[in-house]
Amino acid sequence: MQQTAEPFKKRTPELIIRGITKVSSLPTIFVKLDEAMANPRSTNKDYAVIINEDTAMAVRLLRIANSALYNFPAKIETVSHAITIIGSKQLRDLLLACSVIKMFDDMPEELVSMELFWRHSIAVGVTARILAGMRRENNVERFFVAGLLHDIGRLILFTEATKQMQHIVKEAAERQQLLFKIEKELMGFDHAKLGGLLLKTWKLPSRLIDAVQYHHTPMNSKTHPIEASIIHCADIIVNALQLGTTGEHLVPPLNDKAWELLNLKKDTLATAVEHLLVQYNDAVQFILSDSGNG
Amino acid sequence: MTRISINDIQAGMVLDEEIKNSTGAVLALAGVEIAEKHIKAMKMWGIPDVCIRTDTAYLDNKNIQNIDLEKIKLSTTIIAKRFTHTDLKHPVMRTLFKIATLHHATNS
Repeated sequence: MQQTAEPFKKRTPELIIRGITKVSSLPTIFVKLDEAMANPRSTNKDYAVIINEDTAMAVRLLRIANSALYNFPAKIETVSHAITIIGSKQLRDLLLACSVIKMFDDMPEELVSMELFWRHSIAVGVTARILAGMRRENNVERFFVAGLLHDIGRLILFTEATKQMQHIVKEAAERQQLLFKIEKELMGFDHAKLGGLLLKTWKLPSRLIDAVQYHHTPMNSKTHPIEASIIHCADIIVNALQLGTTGEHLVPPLNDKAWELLNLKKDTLATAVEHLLVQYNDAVQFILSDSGNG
Repeated sequence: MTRISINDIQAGMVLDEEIKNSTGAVLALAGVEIAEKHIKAMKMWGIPDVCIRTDTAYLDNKNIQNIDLEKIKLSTTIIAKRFTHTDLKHPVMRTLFKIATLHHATNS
């Protein structure tokens, strides 16, 4: 624990990540599924078997598949059916999202309410998914996951650098300044950088890493500026509506180029928000509630 | 004070500045509630944008009729604080401001 009397010992993001043991690797079910999908001989049946091993997870995925996020006319009753209709990659990305939330189940809520944290994260995930859909991107689930994970670095900071964050939150409130700017000022890096590093440790694909690492500076991503820009814009929209919070109470500035890159008309914003509000309620209900109870 | 493009102006908004044409003649005084005739005149004189009193700047929202104007004004003030670090000259941020204000007023 840091002393409050003296300036905080500056730790690098790498050091902080190395100090984490509890969330140092992704849950087995995801790793298994990911590996199976990398194997060209795997079939949808194999994937269904893996997912069904974790009944609670399977139930949760089915509830999401039957929610407003998909609006399918008929009910999806089995994981196999879900894989066929939604797609195996998409289901894997949804599973990743649910798995990560579960990992942080019993984190102490000293500085931020976990409920509000995930509400904001889910909202950004849903918004990113909607924006990606408007751009006709394929596999929109990967944008949902990116949105869900975008502030994970801040969660790590809250748990691993609590006193430092307490100071940073206080400073941001006093100066009415954006939280990530104070993070950068006082620690030398911000939660986006830390989040990207965590995802790297989890060996997740570079498009996810970039989306998280550069969500405040989307044009700094050399290989995935679109992913980063979508999360960037989604974050701003959700902050404007204050759906949950990860500690930020102000709206971050919009990067002009990021919006241009998305090539969306400003009139689509109102439609996006309408969809967001409907899907957000469903997503929160099915992703955050206790699993298992049908 | 909110700057709005001439294409987005609606009757009912209140001017926050005096509008003059290119010869210096006054088209409308500050504090005046904009009417169709003002909009016509401003368009004719090629005025690109005007300053509107922020708490009246969102009357074009079709859902606003159902909400108390006082509530909208309160929400506008609260949302304006949240948008401190954004550039409200950007049309997207202005649109988002409107949406956020309406959302806040409907849900508070």
